Amino acid sequence: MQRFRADVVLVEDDPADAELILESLGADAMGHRVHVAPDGEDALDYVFCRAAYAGRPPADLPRLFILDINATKVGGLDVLRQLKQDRRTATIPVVMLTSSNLLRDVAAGYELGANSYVQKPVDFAQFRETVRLLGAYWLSVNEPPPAPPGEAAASGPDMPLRN
Amino acid sequence: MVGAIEPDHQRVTSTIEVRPIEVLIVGSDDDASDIRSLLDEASDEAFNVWSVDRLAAALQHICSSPTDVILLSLDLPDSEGVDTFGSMYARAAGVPIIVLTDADDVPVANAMLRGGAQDFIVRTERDASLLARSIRSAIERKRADLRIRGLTEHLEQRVLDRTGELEVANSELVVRRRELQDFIDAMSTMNAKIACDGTLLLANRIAQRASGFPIDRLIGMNFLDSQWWSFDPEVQARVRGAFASAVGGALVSYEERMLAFGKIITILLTLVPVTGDEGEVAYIVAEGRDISRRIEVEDALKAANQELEAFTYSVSHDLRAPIRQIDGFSRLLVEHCGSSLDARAQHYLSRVRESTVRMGRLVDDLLRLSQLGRQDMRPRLAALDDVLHDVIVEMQSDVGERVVEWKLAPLPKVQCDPGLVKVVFTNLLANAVKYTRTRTPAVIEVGTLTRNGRTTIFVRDNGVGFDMKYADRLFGVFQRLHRADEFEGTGVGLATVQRIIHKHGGDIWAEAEPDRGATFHFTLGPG
Repeated sequence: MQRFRADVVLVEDDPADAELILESLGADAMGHRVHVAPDGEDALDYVFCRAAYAGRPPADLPRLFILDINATKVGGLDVLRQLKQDRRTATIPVVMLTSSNLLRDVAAGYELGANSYVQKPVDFAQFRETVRLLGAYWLSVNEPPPAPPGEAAASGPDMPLRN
Repeated sequence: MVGAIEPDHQRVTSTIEVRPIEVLIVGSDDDASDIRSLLDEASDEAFNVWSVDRLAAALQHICSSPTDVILLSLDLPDSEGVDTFGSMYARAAGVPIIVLTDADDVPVANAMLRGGAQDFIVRTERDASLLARSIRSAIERKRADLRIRGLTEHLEQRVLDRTGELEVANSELVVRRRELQDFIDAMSTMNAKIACDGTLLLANRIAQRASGFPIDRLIGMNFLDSQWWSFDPEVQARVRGAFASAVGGALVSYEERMLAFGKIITILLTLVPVTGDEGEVAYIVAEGRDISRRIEVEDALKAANQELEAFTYSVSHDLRAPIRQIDGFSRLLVEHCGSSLDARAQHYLSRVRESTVRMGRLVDDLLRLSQLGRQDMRPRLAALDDVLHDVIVEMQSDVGERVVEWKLAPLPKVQCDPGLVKVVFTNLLANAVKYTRTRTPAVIEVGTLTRNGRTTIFVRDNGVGFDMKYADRLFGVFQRLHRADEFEGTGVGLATVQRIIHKHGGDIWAEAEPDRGATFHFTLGPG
């Protein structure tokens, strides 16, 4: 269990898929640290420094969320909503990476503020290329938002940013 | 006035009496001679005078000789008074009788007149012209009497005949009505004859049972106000509208709800206007066919289909992840450890990878098939030439180095969903390319045929074909006519094609022979 800073939080309940995503991201080679959350609750606990992650410094925020819509315990869309409602996490890019291509899910993802929506290709070659591209884009090409306000200004997760 | 009558009388006499008037005198010799002399005086008429002195002789005479008039004395040696007249009258049907009487017997003679005598003559009033006139008028009156009686009898017979005919017709009508009722009662649908104002004129047993009323109460009720429809104002308004259209001359048929047999059922309501002699709508024949059962079955089928599609979708969806993982890890194994694996391990691994690829295709095809059912058609007028062209361009990678001769005839513009039709062409052409693999050159032909005014599109190849006895399995899911090691495939392609064609309301069929190629014909609509 990683106690320290991660560049990416990957919410994926399928360990095989998680491993393939890590492999495809080339995280090791690129020097990116990835926190793999097996469910939505673990992801929220990690980012808000709760429960098992209570000792983690709250200012250490990831640069990217990769979120499966079908996450267990707390669903992917719920995780997305809570991230976007909190000032500290609202600006962190969220990529929905999921096997669902239902229009309903895509629409809900964007409505709740997802920055990107990517369907997992069934073919591994395409899958690997897709994941590699999204890692390269969001972690290298994309200019991240400025560092969020200091801890003193931090508000609770219930404070909505968007009305 | 007498003068006016005379010529007429003369004329009648002259036309009818071409022979002398046969006069029979029944009485004493004195009577006979008196009358003979009087008749001689009336010289303008020709009389043939016969005389007898007894009733028996008189009766015999009238039977054997033509007699125009009888001058009858009541007192005869063999008969007297009223009886004489009665006997004579009874026997001398049609012959007028003039009674000879004495002056003091006039009251008796008057009674004779009432009993049927034509006239009487008083013996003392000897007047030749009076006698002649009396004879003539007696004959005429009798003749008129007879004619009237004849007419009356004829008339009575006519009345009797007509009455008989009417009775026959009436019973015929009862039988016919009964037959009609039996006939409509035997129908398995609700049927009624309805006047244009909505009054129920006739209803069959099922309609009567549906109403819950006895038939004699049902008939005469208003169809439009009946509780069949009045349970819902919307239904009633629709039925009224449909009925008005039917009265306007239109045949109306649509699905409607109805309160029948104590529950609400769905019927196919058909209203047929029946026209009279002058082309006007005389009445409406209504038919109600209970289709609740059919609708139930249809709904159940629809639900089952949806469930099946949802199942197929989620199964194929959930299958994707493990397939990708097997694919991914086996590929990583080759990449990272390939050089350290021995030949046998490499072979096993390549088998794993082949199976994974096939499984992936299968799931993808299945997913596409299941999505077809959910997908809405987006039809527009599309040029099939363009669709075909795109498909052939994309097909080039399958063709590779092979020599394929394409024979493409111009295709029509049709109303269709071009995205789906592209899937049709893709599958059919991919099959054609695949099954002509052993041919050089492969010849693939696309064109149209018009048979019985129906235009069909065909895709023909000179490939390996197939035996027509398996044709019914051609379009089934996972049905394959070739072994996987001969020709690869998932057995979903033609099922997908057929489903798209059916979605367009069209049809698809194939003609083939082993080793002599295959032709697929299809239409994109009922036309």
